Amino acid sequence: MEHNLLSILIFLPLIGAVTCLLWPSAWKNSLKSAAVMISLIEFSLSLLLLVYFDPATYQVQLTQKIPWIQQLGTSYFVGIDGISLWLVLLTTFLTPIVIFSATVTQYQKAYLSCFLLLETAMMGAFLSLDIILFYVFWELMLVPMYFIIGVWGGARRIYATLKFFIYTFAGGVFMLLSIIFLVYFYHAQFGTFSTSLLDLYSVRLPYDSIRFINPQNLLFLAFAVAFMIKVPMFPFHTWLPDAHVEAPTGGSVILAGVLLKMGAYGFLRFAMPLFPESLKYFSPWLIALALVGVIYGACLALAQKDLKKLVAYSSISHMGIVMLGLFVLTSNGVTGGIFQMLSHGLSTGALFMIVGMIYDRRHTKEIAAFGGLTKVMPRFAVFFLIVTLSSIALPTTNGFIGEFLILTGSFERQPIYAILGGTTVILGAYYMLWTYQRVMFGPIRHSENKGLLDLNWQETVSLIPIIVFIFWMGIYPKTFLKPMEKSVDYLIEHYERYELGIVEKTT
Amino acid sequence: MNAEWLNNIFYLSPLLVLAATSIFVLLLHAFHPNGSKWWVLGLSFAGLTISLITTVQLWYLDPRYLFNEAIKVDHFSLFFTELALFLTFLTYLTSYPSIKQNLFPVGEFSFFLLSACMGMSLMAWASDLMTLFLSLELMSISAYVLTGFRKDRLSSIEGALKYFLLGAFSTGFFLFGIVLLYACTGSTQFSSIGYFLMNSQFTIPAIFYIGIALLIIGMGFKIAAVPFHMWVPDVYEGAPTSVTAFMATAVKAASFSAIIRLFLVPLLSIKANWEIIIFVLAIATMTVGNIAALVQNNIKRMFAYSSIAHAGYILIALTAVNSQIFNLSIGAMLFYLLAYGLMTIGAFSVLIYGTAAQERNNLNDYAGFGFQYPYLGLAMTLFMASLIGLPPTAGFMGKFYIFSSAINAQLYGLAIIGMINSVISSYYYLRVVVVFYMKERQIEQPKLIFSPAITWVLVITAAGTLLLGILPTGFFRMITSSVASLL
Repeated sequence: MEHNLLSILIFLPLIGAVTCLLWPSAWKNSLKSAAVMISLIEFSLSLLLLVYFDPATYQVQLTQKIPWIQQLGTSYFVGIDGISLWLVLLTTFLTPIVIFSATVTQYQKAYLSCFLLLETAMMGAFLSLDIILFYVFWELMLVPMYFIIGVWGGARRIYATLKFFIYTFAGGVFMLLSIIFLVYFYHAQFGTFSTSLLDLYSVRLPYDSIRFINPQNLLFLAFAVAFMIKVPMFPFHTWLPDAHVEAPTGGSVILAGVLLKMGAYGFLRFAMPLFPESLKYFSPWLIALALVGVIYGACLALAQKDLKKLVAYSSISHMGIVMLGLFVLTSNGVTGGIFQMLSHGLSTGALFMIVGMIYDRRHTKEIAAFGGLTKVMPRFAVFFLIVTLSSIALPTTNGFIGEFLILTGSFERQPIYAILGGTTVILGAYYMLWTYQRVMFGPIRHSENKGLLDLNWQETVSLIPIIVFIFWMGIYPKTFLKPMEKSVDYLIEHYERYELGIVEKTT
Repeated sequence: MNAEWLNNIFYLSPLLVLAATSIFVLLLHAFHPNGSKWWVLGLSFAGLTISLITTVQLWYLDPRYLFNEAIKVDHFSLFFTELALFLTFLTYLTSYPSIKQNLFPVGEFSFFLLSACMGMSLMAWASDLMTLFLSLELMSISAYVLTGFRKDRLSSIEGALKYFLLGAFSTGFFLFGIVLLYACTGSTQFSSIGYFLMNSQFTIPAIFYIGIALLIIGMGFKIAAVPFHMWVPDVYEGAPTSVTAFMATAVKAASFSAIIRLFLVPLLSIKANWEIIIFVLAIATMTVGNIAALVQNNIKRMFAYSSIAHAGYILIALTAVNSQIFNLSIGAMLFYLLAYGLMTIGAFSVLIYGTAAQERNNLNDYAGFGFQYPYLGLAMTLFMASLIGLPPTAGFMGKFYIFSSAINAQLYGLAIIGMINSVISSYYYLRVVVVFYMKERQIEQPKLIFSPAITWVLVITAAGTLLLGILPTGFFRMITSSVASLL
């Protein structure tokens, strides 16, 4: 069981997706329950990961390796370590919530199976340790998301989904060229073909610290561009506002909650360990871009009149601080970055759900159309406030732990990074609290808002688990930080020791 | 009748079976024009099957030259014979609705289809310029006639005439090239030409190179390389859709097999001299094909331009061939031809299904098609994904191999241009999916009649696309042995 757990986790949603597609129309009413059931089973199986995971080692665990294409040395190689553990759990946690709170009625079979197919692709991408397998799942993620935005989205959905797809696909194909080069370089250096990541970590790419154009730099750039598009980091962020605004609620939640993390994870798993010398060369630039993302994203969020677009830009800002934590490459920074990924996934996912709930009631997302909603929707106000406070990193919420660790880590690298990154605290508080005030507090400015219904039981049930974790992660984060420690330390150690040529080859 | 003769007949059996079947069904239909179509169809299928069986039998024998080195029977030729037979079989199935509605006179159609198949197979067997020319003409003339089969449509006749005139013109170039090569080397056999080149490294006359250039022009027309591509959109649009699929896949495959046999074995030693032409051709073909396809509203014209672009990708691998990565690059070409054949015929089959009741080629007429006919929509999405190059489909594996060969040959610029073109192509392939699923139904979709033949084609091609993408190892082995037998 232990041996196959990861494969079951990857392919169970695929089976679920096919089941949904073939669901008989006579049983239409039970379709959603079946989909929720499948995703809950997936979640419970992923909880088993916590049982089997050994936090005392940095090695990848629960591995399974089946030879696939022998001419390339490719195998179906999956495994989990401290970095991917919580990201996997985030995915399996958010999917049932998204499916449960889905209010789409047209072509419901296709809608739910798209989410399950997306879950397969995301799990595969997080768990695969073979670079070709990772690429397969990476590109596979695009297809269901393309359909979700394009079929069930808003008015400009076709433009948004094409932009999303072509932008991300372009990044992906350049990454493919790098992968091909890397694989053949490994072959030239070691004589055999292998695309397993653990083998590729031991490739010595020629690096010339004087000239900009050298193999390691170019390969790193190709990978970095692909992941920067996904995160999204400035200046490749322009697809995000369109995609988020036009996507249906569930699509936005998964997009913000998990898919953005995929870019950061790609950095952690591929771009950073494979090309440490290039990373060192480019890190000031990358940190600068991350900081620009933080400040610029926050400023853009300030100027928004549309609630969903505001949350989308706040995503850019938050992912900027995450990337800052990753690029400073200190233990605190990287741990904080991963932790903040989790907390951002939860809080921004919840924010999108809240925006969706308002939209369901009033069919508008303009901030000016609201005001004084606390009076009519008190329960909603409580949830909205908790999620807002998590987003602006109030202590006792998860956002605080992540940001604190990131800022500490950045300070260790260079104080100026922490000072500039710390502006997110101020700016984030500014736009989120101002928005909350405009939407919820004050007098009821529009008469349409007087008759709004408070949260029904479905919406409450979908928000409560997130609230629980917001506080758990904020008050007792050790549960979440402990498994990450060893893997993060190994990552940083690998980076620092690469130049000396001391690299362990783990199989 | 000595043993040598019988042996030769045995080696020729795939082609002989095809020839006999084609003539037989033609005569059968001529003498019994009102007789049951089933006899003709059944005999054609039987002929194809027997030919396939004999081809498989030949796979286990040693390669050999026949008829004073006019043809060579080795794994490479047998691979392309099997590919041609398979694609002809699929084309037959996709033409079945048209045959049933009496739009095609079945005897003549079978004759020309089988002749084209025979010509295509022979092109891969040719190890002499005259055999190559003969088979090229056999395939081309059959293709010209097949294009014009729908006499009731003006575009079909126009396409056939255009194809014939331009094709004859380019064959003239090809013949002139043969003449110049013969003038230099005194022989039309490939091996003699190769021998001549290796023995006269420094004294190759200029007209030899002119001959090569003329040969490239002739073959370039057949594979629709830019700037020899102007016939493609009109011909592909005018021809009956099943014939378009046939031309886009099988004719291209056969032409590439001839190019590989001719250019990459005897002329490999001087490749550095003519490589630059192919390099420019590859870039031009990919770019023009993709950009022109972006603005098309007619599905068939869009597919025509996209097939031009795919020939460009294969030309990348052709540019990359050198003695170190011989197997990789030619293997990439073969794999891509197989993958491309499957996905293109699949995409065209969905189109044939959609147009069986009434002819409509405008993309916007298909709004909402995907949700009304979910399986067809799913199949189309799969084929579009494969054509874009998304994993885990055959198209991805093919592109992966082609770009591997480019990177191994250190043609980084070419690989990057190829990648950019892939991204550009994703726009117009996605547009088909967008119209299928994301646009509101504008006009009422006609009720489609279930056609078992086309359904079979869809199943086979969809399964093949996924199989080549997920479990390509078996095919790789077959392709590797085919390439190894080239030398």
